[in-house]
Amino acid sequence: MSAATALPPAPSSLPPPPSAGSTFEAPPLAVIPGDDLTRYILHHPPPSNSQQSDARKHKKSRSNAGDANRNSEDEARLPPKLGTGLICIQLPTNDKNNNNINSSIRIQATVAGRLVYRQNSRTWFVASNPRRYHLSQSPAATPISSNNMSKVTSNMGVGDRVIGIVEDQKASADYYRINIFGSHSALLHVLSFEGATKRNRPQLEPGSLVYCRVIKGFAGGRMDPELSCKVGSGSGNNSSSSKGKSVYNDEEEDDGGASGKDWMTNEGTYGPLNGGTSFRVSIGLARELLLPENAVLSALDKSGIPFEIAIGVNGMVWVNSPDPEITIMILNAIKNSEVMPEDKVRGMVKVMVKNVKKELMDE
Amino acid sequence: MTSYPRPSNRKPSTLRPLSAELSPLHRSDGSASLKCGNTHILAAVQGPIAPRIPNRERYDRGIVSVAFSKGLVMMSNAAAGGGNSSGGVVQDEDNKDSGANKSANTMTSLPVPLPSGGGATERELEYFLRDALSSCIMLERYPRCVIQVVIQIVQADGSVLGTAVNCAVMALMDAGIAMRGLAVAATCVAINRSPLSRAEDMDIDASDKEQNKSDGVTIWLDPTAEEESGEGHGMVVIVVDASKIPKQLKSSSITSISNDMDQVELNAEQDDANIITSFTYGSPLSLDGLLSSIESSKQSCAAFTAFMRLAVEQKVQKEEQTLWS
Repeated sequence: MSAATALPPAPSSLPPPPSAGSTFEAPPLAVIPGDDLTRYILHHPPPSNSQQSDARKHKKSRSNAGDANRNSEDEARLPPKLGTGLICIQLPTNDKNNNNINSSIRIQATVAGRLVYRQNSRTWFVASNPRRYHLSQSPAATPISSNNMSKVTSNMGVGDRVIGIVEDQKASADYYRINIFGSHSALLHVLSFEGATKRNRPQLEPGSLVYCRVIKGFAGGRMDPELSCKVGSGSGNNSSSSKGKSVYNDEEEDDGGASGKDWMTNEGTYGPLNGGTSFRVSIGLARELLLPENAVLSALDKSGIPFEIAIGVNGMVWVNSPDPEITIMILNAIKNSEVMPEDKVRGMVKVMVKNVKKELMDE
Repeated sequence: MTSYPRPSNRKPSTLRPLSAELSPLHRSDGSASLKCGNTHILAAVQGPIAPRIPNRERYDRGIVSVAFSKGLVMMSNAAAGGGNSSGGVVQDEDNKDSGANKSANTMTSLPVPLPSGGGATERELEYFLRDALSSCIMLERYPRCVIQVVIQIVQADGSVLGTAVNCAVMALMDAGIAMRGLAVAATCVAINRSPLSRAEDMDIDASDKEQNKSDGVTIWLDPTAEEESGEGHGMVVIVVDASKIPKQLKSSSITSISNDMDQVELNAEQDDANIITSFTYGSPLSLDGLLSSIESSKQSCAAFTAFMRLAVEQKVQKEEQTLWS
């Protein structure tokens, strides 16, 4: 594609969206697959440094004076990035009438959901709440350029921390087969635990839960995904099944300083999860639970009941606590928080904790 | 006003009231329940999942597998009066009929939207749906996976196949499966003007464009079972890609038709509504009937797309309040 010339300035009032049968005047908050979003994304004004919107804010701001020059070297006018749920396709330019270079690009939504713009990373994506974990769902933002018409790369999903259930070891003596509730089951090498050797390694029964990290993705569908219970090395390093003790990798620290103690102590990050109970939630809820200021978890934390919890981005949650009543209460609180607004969540947790404490004291 | 009134007194291009619910089933990855008048379809999507038979998987793309739920098979054989999965909404007298007396065009067609004389089996319908859906799902994103769609006909009152397509598409949207377009189906009945009479009605209705009457064909959108079972009624289900419907729906996409009807030029300049696939049943359709149906179906598809958008909006709004803090 030739270098883009400056776009003509957008009209003072944005035209109604071009999607078929649409009745909106405002830019669509909700998009359905196939929606043409070229105008909103390419005409969005460059983010100004003075108003850094809160990263948690999801309202998309629309300005009437937007125009974005794709190839300009101006910092503030870098091209926007596309996250999950959006693709950029190149249409054949048979259009003789329209000389606008952007008629050859079309940004489409591929999933139904809410169109969101993150100011900080200049990323547009469609927020949706699927129930099934699919390994190519990590939002790797791709800048719009002519080179990026290729398919989704194969390294999606790498680095995700998931909880899986051990299926069996019939396939091979070297690998556990783990169900991570994705499309296919994943492989976990029996020695990929911290400090594990052939004579000294955890024996995982079928049905046990493991908290592990994805180290190899789907690779375009040719291979089964692979997992590891070792603390992560840099993201570029795929040979994390190297033997011996793990190394804290300083440069490309992928794992956020996760503790890498031996599997025998229960203080490492990854490994089997004993006791407690596990349940599945939607991917969106799992993502919410992993945020630092999650309402329900902080409310549970404040209430002082003892529990431990592990959350996998594949939608599995594991909870353990000394009393089964508390475990069940936590489970219900988390499930309820999916459908309750944030302010009500804290109240709900308070009531539930009170009830459980009362019940425990009555015994 | 209309020379050939619909039994239900609807205008020819009016759809029945639509109502939909996203995610009615909790164990499926995605599900949708769609009611189109009295036709009620439930679709559930599981996917992407691993195929149960390893032979079926393709290394480079996903596979769509459609199944009409098993209750259908029993229904088409047994007497349908008082049947549970397909309510006896068609004609009251059929409820009293015994199985043997039912005409081929009505009761046995209830669960399966075709008259048994048409010879189409469930398998053919499943393949039809599979083809329609495969063209709009981005299967290259799901290699070695299967996307399984199960359709349950809760109540059948005409336009079953079209509604099933729409319901499946909504369920796919609910499951978050990547799609590059939306397949929207419209069911049309084409009625050839009977040669016996109606010559006098021609004058009255020549100016009524809404009836889409061209050269003696009447098109009704979204037929009920009663309308489908009329004599000489040919039904066609047209599935279009909703993201490509042109803005101006009125202008015809057919620029010229040669004299002997052998060649039809489509207006290729407009970003034409790409027809993904179609399915005909009932009486044979004339070429006029087919072309007029294509025109009518565009309106129907645009309306349905707007409806789907509304459903998604509601879901998104609800999520915004509760899920995304």
